Amino acid sequence: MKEDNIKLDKILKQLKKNVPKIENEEEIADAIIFQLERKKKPQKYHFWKIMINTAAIFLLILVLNEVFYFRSKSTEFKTIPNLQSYYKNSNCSEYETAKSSSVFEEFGCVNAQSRLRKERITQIIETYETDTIKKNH
Amino acid sequence: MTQKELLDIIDECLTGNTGKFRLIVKAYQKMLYALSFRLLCDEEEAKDICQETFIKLWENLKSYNPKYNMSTWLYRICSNLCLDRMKKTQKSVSVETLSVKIKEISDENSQLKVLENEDVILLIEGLSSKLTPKQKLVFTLHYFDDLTTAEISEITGLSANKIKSNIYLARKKMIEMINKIENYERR
Repeated sequence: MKEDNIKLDKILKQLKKNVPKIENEEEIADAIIFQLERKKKPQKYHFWKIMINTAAIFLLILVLNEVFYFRSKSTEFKTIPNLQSYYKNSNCSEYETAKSSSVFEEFGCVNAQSRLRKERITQIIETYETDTIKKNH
Repeated sequence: MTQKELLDIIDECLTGNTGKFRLIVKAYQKMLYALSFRLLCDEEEAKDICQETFIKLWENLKSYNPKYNMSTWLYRICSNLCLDRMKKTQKSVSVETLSVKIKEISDENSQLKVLENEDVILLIEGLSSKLTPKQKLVFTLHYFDDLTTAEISEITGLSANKIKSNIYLARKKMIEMINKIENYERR
């Protein structure tokens, strides 16, 4: 057993001294760097592509939102005073007709989009109603 | 390379400087190549593992903890990659071929010989053919890389007792192989 151990140690010593030699050390380093460069490029491109696309979509949403918001605001400001004056100057029968039929359609308030305007118009009609009742009394 | 120099290089690498990374490759590639070569007994596969190790290092450079040795970290990555490959491939060497080589190098009068890579492959493959991948890894780190039990434990995640038993079993299996060769020679 002791002899076997000595023999094994001898072999191991020989193997330890003979460190595996690399042929073309530079070649391995070059291959690694090349691979890293190749890996780096698409990642960079991919990252910036995603970033630009996200920013563009975000900006588009922002712009569209602003456009629609100001459009709806401007329509509201245009229509509501007209409506107010229209009802203030009209007589009762006209008002009743308008209220029962197409008043909202007339001012383009049929869509859910213009719910806000619709609410304002309803409010105006109600105020007019209350005023008329008070006047009659 | 001092720890400070290494940290400076890592900082440069984190900005994407692959040129600086070459310095790390140069400093550690021999060590990693020797380990993977001794474990896999294949020059091309050892080169592949070296590359993979450095690429993994590059990808995880951000998480490097200066508290630990870079070489220990690299040993860990490399040995894990080698273990995966070793599980897939198991090679064997004929007793006859091994017998001739062992006779050459264990001759009492023989001095330390310069062996070719092919001879080293043959001897390691032959002697460690009965070893499990883990035993081979622990044995290689202990005998060839002169690492302490604590360092091997850090690399492999095995307890000190397991490491010692793995080294003992590996030695025992190698001696069995030598006996087998001697019996073959006597015949």
